[in-house]
Amino acid sequence: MKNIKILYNQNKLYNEITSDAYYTDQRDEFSIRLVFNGNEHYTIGQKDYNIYPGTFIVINEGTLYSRKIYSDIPANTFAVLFSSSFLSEFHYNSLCDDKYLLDNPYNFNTNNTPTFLETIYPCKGDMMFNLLHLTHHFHNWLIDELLIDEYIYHCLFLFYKLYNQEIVTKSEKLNMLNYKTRTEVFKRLNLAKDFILSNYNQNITLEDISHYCCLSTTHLFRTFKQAYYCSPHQYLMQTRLNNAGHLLKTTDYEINEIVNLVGFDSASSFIRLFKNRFNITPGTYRIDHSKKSA
Amino acid sequence: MKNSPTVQKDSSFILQVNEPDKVLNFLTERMGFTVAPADILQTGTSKGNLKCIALRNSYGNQYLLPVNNANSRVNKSMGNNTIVINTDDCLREYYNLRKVEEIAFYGKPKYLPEGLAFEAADKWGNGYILLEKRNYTDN
Repeated sequence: MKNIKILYNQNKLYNEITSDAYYTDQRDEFSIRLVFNGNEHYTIGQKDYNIYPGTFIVINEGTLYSRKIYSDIPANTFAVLFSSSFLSEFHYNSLCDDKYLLDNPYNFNTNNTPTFLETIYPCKGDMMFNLLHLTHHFHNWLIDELLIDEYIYHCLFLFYKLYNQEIVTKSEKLNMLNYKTRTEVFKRLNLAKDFILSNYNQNITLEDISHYCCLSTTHLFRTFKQAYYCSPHQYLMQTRLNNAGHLLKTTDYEINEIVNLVGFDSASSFIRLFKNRFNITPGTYRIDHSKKSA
Repeated sequence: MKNSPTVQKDSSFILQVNEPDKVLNFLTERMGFTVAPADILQTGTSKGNLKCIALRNSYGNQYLLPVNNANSRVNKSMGNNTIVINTDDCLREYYNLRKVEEIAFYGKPKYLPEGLAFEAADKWGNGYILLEKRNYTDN
């Protein structure tokens, strides 16, 4: 099932629920893309990305990409596509102060939209709440387009804030004086992070990550810790535990099934790590959340 | 944001407002509040007894709106009149209230540690804080 809504200002909302789809050689406006259930595979250039619940990917305007859904349970995908004029105006407004904007309200160039690092971002907090509201309103066709626009504006506002936290601030944490070196190392660290987020349910090693992002294992280990305050292995464990938490909340899979789905070797180590992370056993976590949603 | 402005009494809030009749209309017609079946209640406060109308919204908030005159001694002695209203969709309320002539806004919705909120005031001098509480520990 596919739904698309094109607003008066050419912003678009796209929702698809399917377990089998393949779209090749796609080119769109700047977009934020996520899944609420299941997973979706993207290929941008030579790089592959798997998007799971709790993350989203951004794709810049004009980037050539392919996307594929092939899963046992139907993937519920959602995308917000921002028109060039909307994005350019927002960007222009974010850069200029009020006094300048009063004198030059329309001094932005729609042919020169900003570009962002195409990587996987965490979808949580206010961003998640707003996207959930947006999908709710999206399915209510009677709703006013201007209200949808209010949400789209807030999604972009929160993305800018997140970009600042995840990209600008984290790259500045790297202890390197040379700007070019720092930028290149940070790009490779993002590849490492994307590799972990895309393959957390596989049996991956530090060597696999190191090979993918073209950083030696010691260099990767040291710089990853500077940017993300944890080792690649700890980041992998956190990703597995967060996804296990999502499955505990949203499915009735057995614990052993979840252990396999998120890539842990044994149930005992999963339960121990889960308890360390959430201060609660997986079973109690599931009961608590089913009570909350009841 | 201003300090917590309402008086809590028996898990309900007693609203101290100017022009209670107009506020009653506003809350029922614009904010989706309904008058509770036992519509007039007596409640005790340190300043004396108040006759109140009980109002509820779908979010589960209950407020007691005194039916005393706004200029009564009890109302005046209980301080400022800003009402905190919980909502499940702050941006929807913000969007809908922008169409209401009697309402003025103090800025745009703001992201706070408790959730998303905005401040507004009606033309009778009552302030409103609409708050969508968000649990950030869950995701």
